[in-house]
Formats: sequence, structure tokens, C-alpha cells
Amino acid sequence: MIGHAFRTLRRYLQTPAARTADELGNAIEDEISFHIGERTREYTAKGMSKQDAYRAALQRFGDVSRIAAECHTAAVSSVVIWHRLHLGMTAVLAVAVGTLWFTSAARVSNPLQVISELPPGIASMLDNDWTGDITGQLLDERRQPIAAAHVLVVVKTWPDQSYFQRAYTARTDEHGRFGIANVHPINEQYEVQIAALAENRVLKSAYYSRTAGELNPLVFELPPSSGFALQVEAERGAALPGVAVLPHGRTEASGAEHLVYFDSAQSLIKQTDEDGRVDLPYFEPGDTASLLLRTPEGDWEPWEITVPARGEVATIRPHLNSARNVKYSPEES
Amino acid sequence: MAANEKALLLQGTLDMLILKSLLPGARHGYDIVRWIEATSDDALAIEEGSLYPALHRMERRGWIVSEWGQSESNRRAKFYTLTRAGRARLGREIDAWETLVRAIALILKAEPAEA
Repeated sequence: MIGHAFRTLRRYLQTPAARTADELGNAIEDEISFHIGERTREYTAKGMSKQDAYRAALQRFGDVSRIAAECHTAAVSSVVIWHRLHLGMTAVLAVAVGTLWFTSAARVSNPLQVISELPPGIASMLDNDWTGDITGQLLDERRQPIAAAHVLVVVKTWPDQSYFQRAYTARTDEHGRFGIANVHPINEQYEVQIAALAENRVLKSAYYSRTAGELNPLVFELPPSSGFALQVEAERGAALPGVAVLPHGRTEASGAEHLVYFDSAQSLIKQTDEDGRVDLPYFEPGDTASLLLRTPEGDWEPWEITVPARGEVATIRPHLNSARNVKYSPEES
Repeated sequence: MAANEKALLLQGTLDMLILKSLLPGARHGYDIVRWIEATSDDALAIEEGSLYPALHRMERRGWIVSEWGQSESNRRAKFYTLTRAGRARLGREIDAWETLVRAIALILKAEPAEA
């Protein structure tokens, strides 16, 4: 049963698609015509007239139309089933593909529909024109460009009563310029926090609140800094190497604050060397340096240091003093 | 032997004779009829109207395959060739036929008292 069905299917698949019922009928007629012609020739060779021979051949063959119909039925009866099955499956497949295409076309043609399936905040972010760029330039005290400086940017948005904060980083080129493309929306409110850090230059930051539309190019002037060395020691004054130190902020003597957001500051993290020391070049004497420290076995902890005079070293002993935010000054260390 | 004296084929034997006729090689329908008639000393009469439906049925079943070619009279004719399945079918048909003939012979040879 299965073998027969398989053979019939194979024969159906091997049947040329152009082999229509008409073509099959013509082939059967040709075959019968050949037979009657040969029989006529046989009878003619035996002395009959052509007309009589043809009539006798026809008579012997029988009802040509009936026999041709029987041949047709015998040839295609089972194939017809496969043909109808084939047509049916093709129709089902066509409907399925059409439905799929129509559905996907509708989704593509209506991106808002796709967006509406996303979480509200993300949907709003994508829905709005999120093409705002942040550009600017870093200059020294003589208005000369500062190259290879770090620019850390954090963009805050509030789409659909949600809150999103994204961090970006950039380095200045030889002209001291930087640019970060497509970082803030145009059609909704946003806020930008930006920090600029360069070797031997003071850390500066700015905050642009309740901003909308395009942001004008930002220009930072970074005066030279003296910097300072930070010494991190263990309980008995032993150097503590491998401590991660991140400059988190600078408060000028005047009280002006400059912040570095943790999200954007991964590129600024330094490790204390084998002497437990790390150079922090972004500060001036008298500044309060806000630092984040992480010992190899600990978590990030905040510290504030009064930046010592040029050439002096500030010391922190995390294990001795469990209290946080303890100010260490050169006099104390 | 006159045509009206020719024996009619037993039902079911036409396929076997057609397959047997194709054993030596490809033949067209008219040649099959003539071979059967000549080989049986004109004792068997093939109903030509039955031949072609049988050929198409056997082709559908995969016992034979067909191909158009040139006949001896240089006319376009359809030639049939035996397939492997057709050879196997012929073997089974011959076995069944021989079994039938032996059974009928035993019956015919039997004495009435044995029945």
C-alpha cells in the first residue's frame, strides 16, 4: 500500500508539468492511430483494398473513443489524486505565505505598531527623534586645543514618565574637538552632564538641565593642575597595591563642584602600584577630591581628600579607619 | 486457425502475456499483439481494445515504461520496455499461472470415483 503510493507519487513528480490532459489524449490517439495504420498495412498486404483494410482494422480494434477514454483513465486515475492533493497543498501554502507577507508588510508599514509593543519608555525613545549630537572643544588657558582628553557624557531623559540614563565617552582630536552623535532626543526634554579630564589639567564638569532641541557646542577651558599622589596603605602602613581608584569629583575652594558620573568613568579607573601609590593629575591644592576606592577584596567606597600641596602625598588607610568620608590631609597622614 | 476459433484469454492473463512479450526487449502495442498471436500459433486472440488500457495501467503501476520512437515501417510509435518491477511481477504471474494449470490438470485427470 505504502509502496504503491510512493511509486505513484514518484511517477506523478516525474510527470512533466506540461503534460496536460490534452497532450495525454493526443498521445493516446497517436498510439491507436499507429496501431490501426499497421493493421491496415497488414490487411492491404494480404490483398484487401485500402478502404476495406482500414474498415476491417477499425472493426477489429473496436470503439476507438471508448478505448482511448479507458487508456486515459488507466494512465492518470491515481495521478489525478496526487494532482488534486498537490493543488490543494499549493493553495494552502499560497494562502499561508500571503497571510505572512500581508502581516509582515502591515507591521513594516506601521512602525508605530511595532514600537507600541515595546516597553513604554523604550517605545517613546524610538518614537522620538533621537538624533541630537553633543559636540564641543577643550582648550587650555591660552585657548590652545587639548588633544586626547577624556569627555564623559551622561544623558538623562524622562520618556512616558520613565527615567533613562545613558553614558557616553569620547576623546578629543588634535584640534581639541569631540563629538558624540545621536545621544539625545530632539522632541522631548533631556538633561546632560558632561565632564572633561586631561592629563595635568583640572577636572571640570557642567550640567545642562531641562534642555530641549539641539545643544550648542560646549567649550571647556581646563587650566593646568598640580595633581597629587595618593598612597593607599594597609593596617601597619604596608603599601596596598591593586586598589582601584576612580576620581569621582572635585570641589574647588570656592565651593564649585565638578562631578564624574560613575556610569561613564570606567576609562578613568587607575590601580595603585606596588608601592600602593597612584597619581591623580586632575586636582589643584586646596581642592576636595572625591574618590571611589575598591580594594581587591572589597566594594567601591567613597573617600574625600583635601588635596595637598604640590609634591606632597595624601595617604589613605582603609583598614585602620572604618569610618567613611574621613578627610585625610598631609598633616594627618 | 480461423479467427472465430481462437481461444479467448482467461481474465487476468493479459498482463502476464504482455509482460512476457516485453522480456526480450521493447515493443510497441501492435508488435505485442502480433508476437502473442504468432507465438501461440494464432491460437490466442488479443482483444486490441483491451491491450492499450492494460499497457497504460501497467505503466502507471511501474511495471513497464514507454518511449516514443521509430517503428520498422518508419512511423512514429510508442515502445514499451519492461522494468525491474515488471520482471518481478512477471515471475509471480508465471508461478501463479503454473500453479493454476497444475491444479486444473489434476482435476481434469481425476477419475470420477476419486471426486
